[in-house]
Amino acid sequence: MTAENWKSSGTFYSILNKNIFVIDEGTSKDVLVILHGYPTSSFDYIKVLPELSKHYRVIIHDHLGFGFSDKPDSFTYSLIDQADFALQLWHKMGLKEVTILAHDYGTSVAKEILARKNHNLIPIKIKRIYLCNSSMRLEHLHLRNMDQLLKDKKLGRYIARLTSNGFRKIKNKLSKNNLNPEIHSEYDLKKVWDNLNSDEGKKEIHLLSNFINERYTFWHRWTEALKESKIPIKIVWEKSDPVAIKEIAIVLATENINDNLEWLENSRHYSILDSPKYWMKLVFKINDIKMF
Amino acid sequence: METLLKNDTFISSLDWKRKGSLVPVYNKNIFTIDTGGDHENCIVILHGYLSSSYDYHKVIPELSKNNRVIIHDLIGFGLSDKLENKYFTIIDQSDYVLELWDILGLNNFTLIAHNYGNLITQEILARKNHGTTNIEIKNILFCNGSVPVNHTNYLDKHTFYTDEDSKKMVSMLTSFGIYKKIMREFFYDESKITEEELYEMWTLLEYNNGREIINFIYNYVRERKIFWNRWTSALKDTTVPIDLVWGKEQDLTDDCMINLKGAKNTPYNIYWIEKSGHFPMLESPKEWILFVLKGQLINT
Repeated sequence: MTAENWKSSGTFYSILNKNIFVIDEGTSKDVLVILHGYPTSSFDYIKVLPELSKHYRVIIHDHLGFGFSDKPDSFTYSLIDQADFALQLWHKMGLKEVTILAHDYGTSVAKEILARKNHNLIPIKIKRIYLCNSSMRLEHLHLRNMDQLLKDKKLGRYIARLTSNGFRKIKNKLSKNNLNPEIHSEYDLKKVWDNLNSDEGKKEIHLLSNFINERYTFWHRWTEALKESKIPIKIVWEKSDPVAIKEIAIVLATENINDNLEWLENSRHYSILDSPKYWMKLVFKINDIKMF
Repeated sequence: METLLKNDTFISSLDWKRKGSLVPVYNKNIFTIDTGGDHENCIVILHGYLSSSYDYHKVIPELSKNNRVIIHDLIGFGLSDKLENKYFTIIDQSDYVLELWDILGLNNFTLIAHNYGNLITQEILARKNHGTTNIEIKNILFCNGSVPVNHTNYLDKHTFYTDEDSKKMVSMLTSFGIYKKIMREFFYDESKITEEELYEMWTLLEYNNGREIINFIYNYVRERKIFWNRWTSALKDTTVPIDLVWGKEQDLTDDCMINLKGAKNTPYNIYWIEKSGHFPMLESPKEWILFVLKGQLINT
């Protein structure tokens, strides 16, 4: 499936005067809402969607500034804004009770939503939350250094322009790091990259990557949210993930770990893109999948 | 109004404590003064950074003659619970404020905010615009304070002010001697604030180890940058009438005004208080009250 096919299988919702791209599949009464990672889009879930939608009504939206959703006009949109948009979208779709699945950038949005839920400020019921580290290993293969550069106030905007060869770099790194070579054609990396490039997405990426600062600013708010949660949470993490490991170590080191938190170690680096089958087995305990 | 003469209005922090009560919100106790009970009109106040509800001791008696007046000490300040060693953000403050108002059953009131309270107000407006809270606000009066700094316009001038600000604030906390010296600089006429008042304010700051943990709240300067778009859009998109009551003799005012003028669609009034600095409610209580009541009247 190409990115264009993907686009036609979804719909657009107007949320606070911005167009948000939404995939809505499945007829189950059990609703699974997905908050995708950085800097990708709902397209990450193309391989797991057919099976997941048999068990859930699956709703994935592209965060503002990502994928097919509107790109911000040279302004910074914060994780707090993304949480507002997600809540408003779910409200508009009439969702009363949801299970949340989130990947890296999306986990911060999920934690903000959890914080507000703990504080009793939002009406939506949350059944369970799945927090996963990265949607693909792209982040720490290439973008970790990139983030550092993009984050830089002065350099960021120039770096974004200079990375037209970034696509080639990502592709090379992916093939070097033992990832399933199939993903290059199937995932259609080029399309994702073009997407990032389109609508001046490239110009804006440094503004969106501001979220690294927010992760520090809201560190306590969000770890508190996890610790106080009355909602069952499954955290799927990789020991080798240099980004998530610090965060997890700190939460683990705190004395009173909430009974609602369950840790699932993803020791084999299963991911939704190169090993969707095993990933679903690990996270959702969905067995006997005939997918390929 | 005659009672507003100096010394008559002095009240110790101990007596101030008797005027309010502790309201438990989530896991913290919030010191709240709820006075002027049965009036229909309601005024709610959010105080500024390194301050407390005590800033308003000169004006509350007059305001509460015709209004129910609610003011609380923000978490980390005054007689409310201070923090453990954890960062506490504007977003957290807003959660507590909204929950407190909900517990007190407040809705459709006049909101007065000063300095740090302005930022909380903007966050609440953002949530209102985004449909994530149901609170109704009749009108808003902003007093002196910062409006988010546009980080794309972040000139040396702004960095200078922020740096100066933070230097001032850090040194303010070292001792009462330096605290009172710097506090007096915020006033146009230093004689308008007495030594004993300053001492009570210092006592409230120190209460429950408050001085030790105050740095954990200071990251609002970083938030001002992160949420520049969120908070200026909040002002731009809101339908709540906004007026400004501003002590004229203050640095940074230009900057704030430019931002607000650019952001606000609907016309608004600016009430300048002449010969008054950063704390008009302490320095020129009479004028401040007049403008607040005027602003309230125009918008109802």
